[in-house]
Amino acid sequence: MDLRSYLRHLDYIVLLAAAGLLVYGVAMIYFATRHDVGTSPLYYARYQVAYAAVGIVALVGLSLLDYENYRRWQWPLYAFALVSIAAVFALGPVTRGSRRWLTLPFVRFQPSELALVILTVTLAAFLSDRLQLIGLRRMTVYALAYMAVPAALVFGQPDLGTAMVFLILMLTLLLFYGTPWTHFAVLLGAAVGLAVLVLKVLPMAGIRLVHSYQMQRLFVFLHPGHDVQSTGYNLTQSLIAVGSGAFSGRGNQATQTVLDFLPEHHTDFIFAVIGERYGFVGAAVLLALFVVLIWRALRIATISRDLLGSMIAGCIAAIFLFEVFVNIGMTIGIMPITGIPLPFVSYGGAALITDLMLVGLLESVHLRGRLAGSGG
Amino acid sequence: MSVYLRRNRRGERRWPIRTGRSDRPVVQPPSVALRVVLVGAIAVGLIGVIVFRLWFLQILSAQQYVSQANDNRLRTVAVLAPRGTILDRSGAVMVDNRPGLAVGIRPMDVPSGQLRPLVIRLSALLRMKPAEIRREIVHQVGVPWNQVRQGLGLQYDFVTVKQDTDRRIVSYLLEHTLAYPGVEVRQNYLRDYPLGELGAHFLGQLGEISAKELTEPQFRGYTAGDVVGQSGVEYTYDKWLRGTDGSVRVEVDASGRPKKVVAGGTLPQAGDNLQLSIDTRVQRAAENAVNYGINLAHANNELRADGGAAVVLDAHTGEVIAMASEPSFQPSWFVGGLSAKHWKKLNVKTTPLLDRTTQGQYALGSTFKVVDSIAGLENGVITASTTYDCTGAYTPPHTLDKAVWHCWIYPGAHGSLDLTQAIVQSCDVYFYNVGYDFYSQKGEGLEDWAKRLGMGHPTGIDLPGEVAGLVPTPEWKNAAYTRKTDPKGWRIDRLWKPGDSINLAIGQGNLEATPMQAAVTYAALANGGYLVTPHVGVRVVDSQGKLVRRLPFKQPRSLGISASTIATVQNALHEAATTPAGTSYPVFGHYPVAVAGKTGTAQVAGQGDYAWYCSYAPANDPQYVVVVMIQQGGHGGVSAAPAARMIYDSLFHVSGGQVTGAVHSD
Repeated sequence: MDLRSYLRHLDYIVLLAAAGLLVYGVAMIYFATRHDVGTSPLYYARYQVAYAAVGIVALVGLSLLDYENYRRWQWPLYAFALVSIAAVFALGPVTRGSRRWLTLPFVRFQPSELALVILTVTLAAFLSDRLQLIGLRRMTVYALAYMAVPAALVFGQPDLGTAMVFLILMLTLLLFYGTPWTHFAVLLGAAVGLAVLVLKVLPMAGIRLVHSYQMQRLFVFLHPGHDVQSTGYNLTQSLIAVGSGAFSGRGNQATQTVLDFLPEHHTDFIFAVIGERYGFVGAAVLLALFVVLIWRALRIATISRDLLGSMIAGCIAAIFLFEVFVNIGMTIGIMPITGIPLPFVSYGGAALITDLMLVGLLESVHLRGRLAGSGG
Repeated sequence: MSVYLRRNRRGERRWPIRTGRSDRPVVQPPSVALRVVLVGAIAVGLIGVIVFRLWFLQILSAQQYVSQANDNRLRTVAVLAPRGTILDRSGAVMVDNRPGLAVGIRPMDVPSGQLRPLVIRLSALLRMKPAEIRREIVHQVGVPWNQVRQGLGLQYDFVTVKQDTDRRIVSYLLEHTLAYPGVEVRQNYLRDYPLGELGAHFLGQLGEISAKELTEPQFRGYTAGDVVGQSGVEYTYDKWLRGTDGSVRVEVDASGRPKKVVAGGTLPQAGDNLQLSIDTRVQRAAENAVNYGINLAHANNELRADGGAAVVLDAHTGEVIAMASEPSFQPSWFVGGLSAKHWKKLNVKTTPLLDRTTQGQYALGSTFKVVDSIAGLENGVITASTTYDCTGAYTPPHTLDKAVWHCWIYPGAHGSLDLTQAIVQSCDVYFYNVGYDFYSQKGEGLEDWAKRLGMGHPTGIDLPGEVAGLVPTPEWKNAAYTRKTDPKGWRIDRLWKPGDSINLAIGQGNLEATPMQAAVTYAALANGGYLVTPHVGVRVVDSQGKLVRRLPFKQPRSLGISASTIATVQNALHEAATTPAGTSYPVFGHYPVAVAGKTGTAQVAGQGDYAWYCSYAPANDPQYVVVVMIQQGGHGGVSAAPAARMIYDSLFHVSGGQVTGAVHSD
């Protein structure tokens, strides 16, 4: 496709929403961290901009690439994702009790984030290659097995949040693939049974698959006032930050996030910074940007020329929705605390680049969609 | 939608595997729209939940969270008020404040793992034991040491390790801050005593309030950690002296580190100044006089003399002009913590910390004869002209045993004496008779008068720790001697026998009084029969010198002693000091100011005699009461009376037997 038609057929609304979120996020990171590193208030913000630059390059690259190709490359890509996640166990350094990173010569690299992009396209390709098998029980089992391997590896890092994103990804793809509702009902029943098994039965038998801190987080979310000084501290401080923002926010009078009462205020709890600084209005603007993003992703799913594009776009919409809900939900005390970042906004290179790559995939589907006319 | 439906009606179960290019037919599974609507609906639901929750948090509960955020970030830090100064009656400063440098540690600022070696290095510099510093840290932070070492449970606390640090150590620390991370130097106020030892006992010391003191009514409204007066007038008048601490509102971060000062603090109000009735010039003379009396005793071969006390009262108001207790100490030793060396110096057999004027009780000896005289005259046991014959020895008329009491003049004899001469010459036999007369009169005439004249109960002076003394009575004996305290002879010993009255009459036996009580008794005689409440404090003035409050004291109370009794006893005391037969004639016979006084030599089992001199002057218009007691000082006329004369020298500006200036008056 030539440059003119490429530019003509880009979905600019998705790009604007993503850019708005990105700018919003960088500004919030600046306000949250300007006192953290003594001499350079721009320390974190500058890094985030650099990550964004890398992510934008990846975005453009992916949008140029025809998503058809993933069909051909699906197995090498899938193998690469598995190997890179597994490599973390052998090579990755332990940070805060978990191994999530690989240190390459120039960059640190978080395989589970890249795997999110890869698995989205490969599982979508795997399913769309088998459209004649829609409705077969076998396919649901295949998809489950397909995703179970990377999810288990990531869960073992341990990174419960990303493992959950993988499962959401799989469920969404199954949904768009056309899996019968009965399969979902069975899956739901199995999930409930598994939860009971892992949380109740196995601990009684002395087997603990879920870490005690994960249990505590779960417990704290159900009883926020409990144990304010240690486990419930983050949640309590986060609620105070968001609540004290009131309707229009405290602006430069913000203290909770500026005076370090809330840890992780530039990463997982960045929404608390927004809530305190710009109040309900600021939060609403942020949510509106996410709504636009998800709306456009779903729209791209409907205008895709084929099922593969629909599955990719719908899956991306679901990933963003899940991450937004879980992250904001934990900040405002309606979801357990997991390490899921807020897309585009939380500080962190791997997650930001992944989010931008997902936007690149959306553009790739849009460029080749039905409204794109004779482009491509 | 119609596009999808049309494709759907083809009813093909097998979809082409490869789709999507514009040159190929568009193949779209019809279910996609439905799935999109489903995901969209879930999205609307979840975003709605978030919006409602945000509405609840940020609109409905905002006020509650705003105040929680303010609680989080605002701390109130106390700013210590400088304590008021203590002045003597003419305004001379006795206790002042001076800036002191305190060295302390902020454990949070010590790099992890460095605290232990830091404490050891600092202890060597401050000449303390590492254990002492650790104890201070644990005490002030309130967290066990093994947790402090790991940096657990710390707020942004400053732990004072050493108050009043030497300036050289401080400048060394300031030059080597990098070697002592987390060590800080702070300036604060410390007590300063420009007059040295002077008044060490009644001025008192400061100290951190104890858990027990927090429950006392004196310290109602105080909080743990307050530094309060622990003794002397610092204790009694703490409320006025301490002032009101100010406060600063600071914004702190999550670790309690102050970030900036915000509005809403209060300025500290300096404490008010306390003016005492003490005259520093007379006080110095009194302290010197007691030491002079001890030296005189030593010179007279009373080598066991090891302490003494002197009290100077305004005879009419009870104001304490001077009160001295020796041996004494430097009050500055207590500033910034007592060192081991000084602690040793204070904990010796001579008990320098004991204020002998109000906390020591002693047999009064012959100085008690004034009480006999007043009681005898008032109760009609004797008259001014009653005479007894002194043969040097005395046996009560009706006793079962053959006990014999000797006069001090034995083997000599005084012959026939009236009351005046009995006081002048301090004849014991005369008062043995008086004592026996009281015994045979039954009742407690003598004991009652002793109590009425201020003995047997605290005088009510405005100093803590005053003792009551003891006036023995039949009930007291009955209660004091029991099977427990006296297993052998309690049945006999608990009875009040003639000997008890006879011993009491010469100030011996179980009688004990403080020098302050003796001074109150003599003040009552000097002022014509009024019992005064001695006091050291006079008024509270603010830092500009304006009167804040005149301290309230009980007004002198009339004891109802007849004028003739007063005149008789006053005259006798005057003659005792100024006529050649008098016991203190050698000391005051040619003194330019007419002194009236009584010597006393109290015998104490197993110790040397206690020397007393109780007096007032001028004899015709009494102004001052002077009482001197030298422990184991021998005869009152030999060591105590000359010491009293030294005090009168100062009171009346006498030098070398001549009046050198105006008579001291106030």
